[in-house]
Amino acid sequence: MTAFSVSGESVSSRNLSLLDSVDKLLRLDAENNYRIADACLYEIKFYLSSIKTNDEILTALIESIIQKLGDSVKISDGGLYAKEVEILHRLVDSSKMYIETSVDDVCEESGQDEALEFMQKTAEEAAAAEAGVAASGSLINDDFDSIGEKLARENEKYNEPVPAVKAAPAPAAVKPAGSRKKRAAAVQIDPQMLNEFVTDCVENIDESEAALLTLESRPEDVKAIDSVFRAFHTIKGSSSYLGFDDMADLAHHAESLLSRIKEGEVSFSGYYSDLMLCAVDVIKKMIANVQKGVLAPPPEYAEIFGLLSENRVDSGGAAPRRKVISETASGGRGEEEKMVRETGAFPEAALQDDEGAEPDGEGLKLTEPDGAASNSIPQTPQEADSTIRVKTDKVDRLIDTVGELVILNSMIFQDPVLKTSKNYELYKKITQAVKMVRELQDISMSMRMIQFKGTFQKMTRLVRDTAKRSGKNIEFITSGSETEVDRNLVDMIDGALIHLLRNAVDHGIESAEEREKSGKPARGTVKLSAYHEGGNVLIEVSDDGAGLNAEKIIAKALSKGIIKTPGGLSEHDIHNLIFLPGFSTADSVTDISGRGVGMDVVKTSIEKLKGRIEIVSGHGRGSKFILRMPLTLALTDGMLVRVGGHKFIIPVLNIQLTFQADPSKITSFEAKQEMVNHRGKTLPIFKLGDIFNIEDAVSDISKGMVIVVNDGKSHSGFLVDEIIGQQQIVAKSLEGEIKNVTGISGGTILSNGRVGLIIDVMEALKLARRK
Amino acid sequence: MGAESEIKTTGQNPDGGEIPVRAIERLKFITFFLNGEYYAVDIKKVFEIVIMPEITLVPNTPFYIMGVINLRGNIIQIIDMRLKLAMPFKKYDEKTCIIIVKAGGATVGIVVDRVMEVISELSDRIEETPALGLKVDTIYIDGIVKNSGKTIFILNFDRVFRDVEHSGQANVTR
Repeated sequence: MTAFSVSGESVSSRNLSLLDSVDKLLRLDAENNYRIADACLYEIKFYLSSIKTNDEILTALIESIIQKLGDSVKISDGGLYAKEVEILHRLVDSSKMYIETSVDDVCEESGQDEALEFMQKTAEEAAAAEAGVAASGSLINDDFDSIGEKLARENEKYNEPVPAVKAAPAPAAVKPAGSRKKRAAAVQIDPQMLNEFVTDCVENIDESEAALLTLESRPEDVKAIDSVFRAFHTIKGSSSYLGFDDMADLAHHAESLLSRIKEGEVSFSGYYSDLMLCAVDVIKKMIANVQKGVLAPPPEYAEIFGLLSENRVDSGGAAPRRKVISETASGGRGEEEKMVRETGAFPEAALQDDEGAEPDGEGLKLTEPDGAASNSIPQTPQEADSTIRVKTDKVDRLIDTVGELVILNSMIFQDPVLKTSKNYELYKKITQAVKMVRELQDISMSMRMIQFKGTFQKMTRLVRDTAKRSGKNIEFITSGSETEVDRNLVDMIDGALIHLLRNAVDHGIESAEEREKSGKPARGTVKLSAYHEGGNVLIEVSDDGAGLNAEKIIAKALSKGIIKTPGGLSEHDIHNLIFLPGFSTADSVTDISGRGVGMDVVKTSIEKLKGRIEIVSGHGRGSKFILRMPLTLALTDGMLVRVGGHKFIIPVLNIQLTFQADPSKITSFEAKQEMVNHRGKTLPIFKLGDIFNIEDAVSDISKGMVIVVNDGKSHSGFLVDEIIGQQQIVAKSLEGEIKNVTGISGGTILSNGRVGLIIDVMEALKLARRK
Repeated sequence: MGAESEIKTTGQNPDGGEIPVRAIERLKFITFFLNGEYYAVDIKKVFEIVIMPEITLVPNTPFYIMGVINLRGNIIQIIDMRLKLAMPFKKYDEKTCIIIVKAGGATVGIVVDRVMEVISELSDRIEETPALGLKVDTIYIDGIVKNSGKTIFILNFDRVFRDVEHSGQANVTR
């Protein structure tokens, strides 16, 4: 069974490449080139899994080959390789022959028979060969046996006139019987396909989660149900296509539950909302697993699956089941009803769905003809803006390159030759180019901007679950989820927000009794909002809970030896104490006043984003955490300063103020550390020239400029020769031996094309104190 | 298909090929002049050669680090090869060049007295480094080549910069 004369019609090109691959495999095998042979095997698997047919025999055959391949790949470094490949080759040959003969004309019976006969023989041979292989034998034998049976049945059929068997690849549902085996092959799917699947699923699952949360507060929202429906349906479709049957089954059952909800058979409340959210969680886990190449369903799969597939009409008798799902989502239900609601102009669900037709009466949606009507009539969603997916690093590279272009552009524009030139035509053209480049920069920056809505949605879920677990009645209000920020920033803010919100729910909001005692409404409010303000993005996490207890914080700080005396601290200073590492232990102030757990982590992560955190709080008045961050991480505001013959950049974020010192205000401390009295405060002055060993820098404080920086605990001054000005910079890290120079955090290209070094203020201060 | 990318037919040695291999192959080197001797570096390691641009000093770094330059938007560290190899410093002139190489996992600009030419040698013509009598630590030398009457030392930049971690703390300043 070697060369075939293949007519292009009867055998698809895919089968051809399949055979090619098998030939290659045989050749490689002969050369003992196992590494490449493995790659080749994957190739074959890919071709096989892409062949679809409604022919039972062929399906079975292909599946058995795939199964076979699964084993071959595993044992490729053992000694069984040659035999495996031989069997494989025969199987593929026969399947090909089968395809050929069945499609050619209306089946020459002889050809058909020959093929079948051969297949049977192969199967037997293979089975015999396999019998010797103890490890993988039994499983494969089963397969071959079953094929043999089928073949026998088919043979009988062929004694009568045979109808044309269309075996050419045709889209047809793969029978569930074969799905187990198919899944073995599915792991080896083209990575790109898998990636797309994962991205799709994540999107869909997020969408359905948002809609489910909306449903909880507005169970009558048909659009939300539809949205969940769509999401689960898509997941079902794509996962079964790729052979992730467990996921598909789960999605299927979730779908049926949804349809019952939709038809009013059961109401979407307590138990069912928990169940659906658990299902969402399980699917999330499964997607994550698929990404890692793990196919086995997570441990809670079976439980959720069982609950979903159970056709319970009565939602009242949920009590015995409740503890099962409590693990994944929450404890009780019913009595601790919680509202999750979105205020503001753009309701979360609306954005998630189709923006134009949200039946929410409030806010900006006045253009909608009739909000209430669309509520009852499910609409087909409008086509969203068409998008393409681009890898993040490509976008990053684009932004970097454009950044360089901008600098280069301004270098050209400021070139003295151009300035003095009388060539106005050239000048005009360059001006034009400058404008274009600026526009290009705006566009490229906007490519990386995304809305907060995904994060907010995640947080909504988090607050819901935390509230249920801690048994608190909380209203969670979000606003500004449409605020756009740099994508990287969104990814990195998550951790801090989770911390702050958990704290707010867990510790901030008091118990209902306590709240009533202090005259507050029993239901606590936690707010999360985002908005832009002067080139920054601000995120606020606030609650109307107990707030920070200054006395307790001071007592704690005293006992830990962080502060020496209880007095002399401003409210700001006291609040900042909770950010100190080590301030947040279990026995700490948090138990009483409700703050402090891991606050240092929050602070560090915000600082990493070049942001600041502010606290507004009072005992019993609730607290508000304001995170202030730059819009993008790509650009930073820097203060360009000169120290001797060198130029450095100090991040504007670190700078409190700058001033020129009056000689009369300069004092010397222990004849070593010079101090300056500025507006009643005494500041130690560190000379950048000394810190960085620059000989030609000014040493007389009154001759230079003092830049006041804050290291979180105290203020200090840096002495520089001159402040040149403020400019936006693209910070770049340094590599190689200069990567970890103390006091330097990175570099940037200045407008004159030279490299400017960015000063790491904290490190520079440490360095200065050491000297 | 993704699997194809896994297929590698070349059996190159992972270091990039300067280590003398048994099979005879034609190797190309860029030669340069440093403190009266000729040196060479594998051309595969070299990105480009630039004439001395303006160097920004980086404070508190070892004495042989001259600073950083802007190479089309990338910040590249510049190392004076004379100082790195414990040779006397020479004032930069119009012949002074920077060879941009990949070495020790980073991109580095190497200051050399002057760049000479590209030579092509068969690998079996590379002689082993004599153990004694060299100005440079023999650990940095991969081998010796005689080309048109000159003795050329093949420098292994990876090895020159591998001990970065250990020497990085030297707080010598200019």
